[in-house]
Amino acid sequence: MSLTRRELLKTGAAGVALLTLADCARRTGAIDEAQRNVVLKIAGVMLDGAIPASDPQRARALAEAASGFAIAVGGLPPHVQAEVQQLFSLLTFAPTRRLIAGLPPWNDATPAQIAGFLTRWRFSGFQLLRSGYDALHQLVMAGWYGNDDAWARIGYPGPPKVVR
Amino acid sequence: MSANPFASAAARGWHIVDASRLDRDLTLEADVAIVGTGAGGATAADVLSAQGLRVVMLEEGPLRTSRDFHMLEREAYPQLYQESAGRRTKDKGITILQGRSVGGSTTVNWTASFRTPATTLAYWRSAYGLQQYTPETLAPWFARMEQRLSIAPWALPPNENNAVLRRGAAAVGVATGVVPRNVKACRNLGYCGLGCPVDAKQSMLVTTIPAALERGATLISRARADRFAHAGGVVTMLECSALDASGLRPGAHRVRVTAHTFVCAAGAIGSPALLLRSGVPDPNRVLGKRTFLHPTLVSAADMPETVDAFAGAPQSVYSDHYLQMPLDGPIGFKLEVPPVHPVLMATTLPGFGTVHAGMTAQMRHTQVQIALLRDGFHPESPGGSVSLRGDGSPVLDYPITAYLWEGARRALHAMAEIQFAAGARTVFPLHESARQYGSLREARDAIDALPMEILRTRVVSAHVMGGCGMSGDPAAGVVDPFGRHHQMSNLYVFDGSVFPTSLGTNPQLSIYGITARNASRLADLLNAGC
Repeated sequence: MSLTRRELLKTGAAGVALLTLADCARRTGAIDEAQRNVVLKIAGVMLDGAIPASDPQRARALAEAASGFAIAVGGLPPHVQAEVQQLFSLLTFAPTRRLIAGLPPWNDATPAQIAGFLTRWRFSGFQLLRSGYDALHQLVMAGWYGNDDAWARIGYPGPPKVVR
Repeated sequence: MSANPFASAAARGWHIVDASRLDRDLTLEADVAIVGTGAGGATAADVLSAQGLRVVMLEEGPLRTSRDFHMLEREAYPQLYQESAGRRTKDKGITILQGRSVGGSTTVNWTASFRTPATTLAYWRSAYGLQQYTPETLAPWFARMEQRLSIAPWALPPNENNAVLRRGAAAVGVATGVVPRNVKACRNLGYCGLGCPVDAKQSMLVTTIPAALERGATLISRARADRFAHAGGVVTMLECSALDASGLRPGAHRVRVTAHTFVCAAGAIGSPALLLRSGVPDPNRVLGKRTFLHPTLVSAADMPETVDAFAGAPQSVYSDHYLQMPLDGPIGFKLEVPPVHPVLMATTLPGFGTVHAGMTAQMRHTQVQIALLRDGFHPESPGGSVSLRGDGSPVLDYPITAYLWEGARRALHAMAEIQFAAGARTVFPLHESARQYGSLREARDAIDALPMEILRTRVVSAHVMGGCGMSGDPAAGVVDPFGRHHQMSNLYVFDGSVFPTSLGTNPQLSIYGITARNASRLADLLNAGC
């Protein structure tokens, strides 16, 4: 299901109510297991081509990316962590996941469906959705490319050896 | 080889406190309490302590020194930058790189050290009554800081990232210059942005802060200044939260400082925020207004030769060609290049999946240029404003006006032209709807058609200025031409927030020089018993 700008406008107050509900449903604290699962699914699509194509190397790379993502979130100030939690609420609370992200349950979502969701948000007419995409992009990319494992493919030799 | 001055801190009896490790409240007394240890606060601490004044420096971030600097983005961004290098404007449209450790942004900047441009000073004199701000009167202060921090034009050949800018610019008749840098025995590593691992960068961390500590000053890290208590136009006390072990949240204890004089040097987002939280008088509603960013556009080129833009002095070539235009016309911009490290590159390049992976795979051939818009000199460039969230943390609202977007498009054109002239195989103006273009004609047509909107066009900033602007007329600014608050007699602001416009160049030397001048005047006043 894709959500056009007009449809979201039509949902209006109902959409706001859903967001509020989603926010109430969220958990506080670090990234939990359900959220990590979402990160693994999204990272699998965002990092396609940047990580090994087949398991077990692929699964290991995704686990690295997800833990990098979690560490990055943990280092953010409280108000930004709260925004990240709101984003996860929106992506995991079934009504908003369906209506605003246009996705089936995460375990059923295909890479093509996830890529479609990311693309819709990336080019959305709504700043809010573009910023949601942007946050995922920042955290997934930082989570992976901060790892030594990411560097061989891109030819980055890592920091030079320095005699202090 | 330079030695880490903090290695002998204990032996020298330096007064350094990590507030996150306090087991009780702390109360201190000083002649001058300084909030912030960046270019402004640390220069002030140096000048004031040299004149025999007892100084306490307070810093929200941690004390990290060269032994902690491993040239790893995953360590440096969370430890040394505001919001893990992901600070954003209110609408998320602009990413802001700003330091957050002892030494402030000087610990992580790319070392470019320019004097305040004469054009900028002329505008300040005519529009803000800053009659004493001439190149001639400021020259001795800049010279003093240039000597103090070993600032000189980079003498080695530029790395290839910078050389491409010089070569391409020359090919299209655009003049370039050599960037002056604050380094001593620099090893040309290229990791200035992650903290210099060999103490070659003459940041506040290895110069003015150790000097002040050696004279008996006190440094408190991980202490967040909450508010100035004040009465009758006089600040009476500074109240701080000792942060918890995470360094992100207030812990159980308080730090209070009483002093004769208080200096606010928390940067152009932090300083207005502290004054807003303190409820200091703002009769003309100017506090936190006119905040400037040098909104910066980015253009990436795929070069036939190896560029390795992660290695070598990150900024050594610049062009002011596009600033040579009237201030009342279209906006001008300065051209420079940034270092290219994996996280910075991957987070800044738009897109995902195989397209994004294809571009990161070109890393060693990637040349990047940046164009810094000179904001704040035109009625249609009023800048942003700082306000407070419910939790007291600051947020900068910076709407990008049509006037700025016009300049953004022109900047993308200029960079593409220079990159192709230098032999680029492709040029990618960083925008969600753009891609790598194989010819200048193709790039030009595309840039003309790109929708200029936030969260489509990539816009970044590493220079936050304004919000506590200086003015001769008390109605037009927050502080007077010597940095004294117009309404509070013992409160001074010494940092980039005092600039009434942006600078049109990298700000560190302007902050050093103007702070040295204003702090010297303050020292004279205090020692005369005023």
